[in-house]
Amino acid sequence: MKDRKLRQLLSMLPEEEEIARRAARARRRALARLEEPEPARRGWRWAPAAALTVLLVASAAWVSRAWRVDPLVWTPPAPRIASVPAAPLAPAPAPAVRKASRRAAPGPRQERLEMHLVLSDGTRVLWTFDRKFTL
Amino acid sequence: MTTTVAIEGGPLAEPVESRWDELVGAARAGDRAALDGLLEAIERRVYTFAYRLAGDRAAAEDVAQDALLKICRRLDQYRGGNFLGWVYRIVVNQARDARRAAARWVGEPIEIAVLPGHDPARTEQLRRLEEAWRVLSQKERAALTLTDLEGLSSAEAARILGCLAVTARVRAAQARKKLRRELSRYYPELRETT
Repeated sequence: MKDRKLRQLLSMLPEEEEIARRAARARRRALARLEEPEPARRGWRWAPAAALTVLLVASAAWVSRAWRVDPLVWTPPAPRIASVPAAPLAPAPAPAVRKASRRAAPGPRQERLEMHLVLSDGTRVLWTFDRKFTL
Repeated sequence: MTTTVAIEGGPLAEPVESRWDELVGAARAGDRAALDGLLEAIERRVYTFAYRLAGDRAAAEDVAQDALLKICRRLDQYRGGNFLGWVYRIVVNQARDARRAAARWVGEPIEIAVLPGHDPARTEQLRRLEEAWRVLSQKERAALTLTDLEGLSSAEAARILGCLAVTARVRAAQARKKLRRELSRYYPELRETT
């Protein structure tokens, strides 16, 4: 009942003559416009966006090339491990036997530290540090 | 050589599907009379459908005009099968574009003058209906028109609207509910009982 009444209301349209008049006028105008040259294609609307995209891609390519680090022209020689002296190190002197103290014995005082380095090209380097590890 | 395809019964008669294809074929081939006949055959349908979508007569005329123009220009893109479905799809898209472009569709309701010789009661009913119709969204209008007024199944309506059949059904149901609520102010028998 409700649906029938609703459908009856919905099926109402303007007067037949008005529909015919407006529909015919719409057709005549459409046909008249058909004779006119078609306006610019819709694709042109996207031209600025396309141009911007191309510009962005070109800029990205340029930036990536400008920021690239070129490979080294000079190749450094491979590192070489210096030969170790075959002679065994002298054994450390046996510590003097002392009566064990209840307090921990202080370690030997080291006045300086020497570091011998032999670089791959044969250069010898000697670094000497004092007690405060100052070179 | 031109082929004149006459539609039996005048412009209001609806050709069957094969007849549509025949007309479209002739119009595509450049037969102006066939194109005129084709447009004459669909103009009322296009206008009334546009009227339902737009909810007012002047806007419907603009939509119908643009839709008919688009139909003429895109006849080459029609692949056969369901000509009216193709036409409806164009009208739906055109109405959507026009609604986006024109603010007047959501503006003040247009006063409908009672013309001499017209039934004032009917004119008033139509005014109420147009007022209630404005509550609906474009999608709800299209779904309701196609299913309830054009007699299409929800699957056919969905194909035209580009949505699922269940979506078309839901939109039509929502539209009916909203219309009942709006129109029940004037027609108490439409009031929801639950």
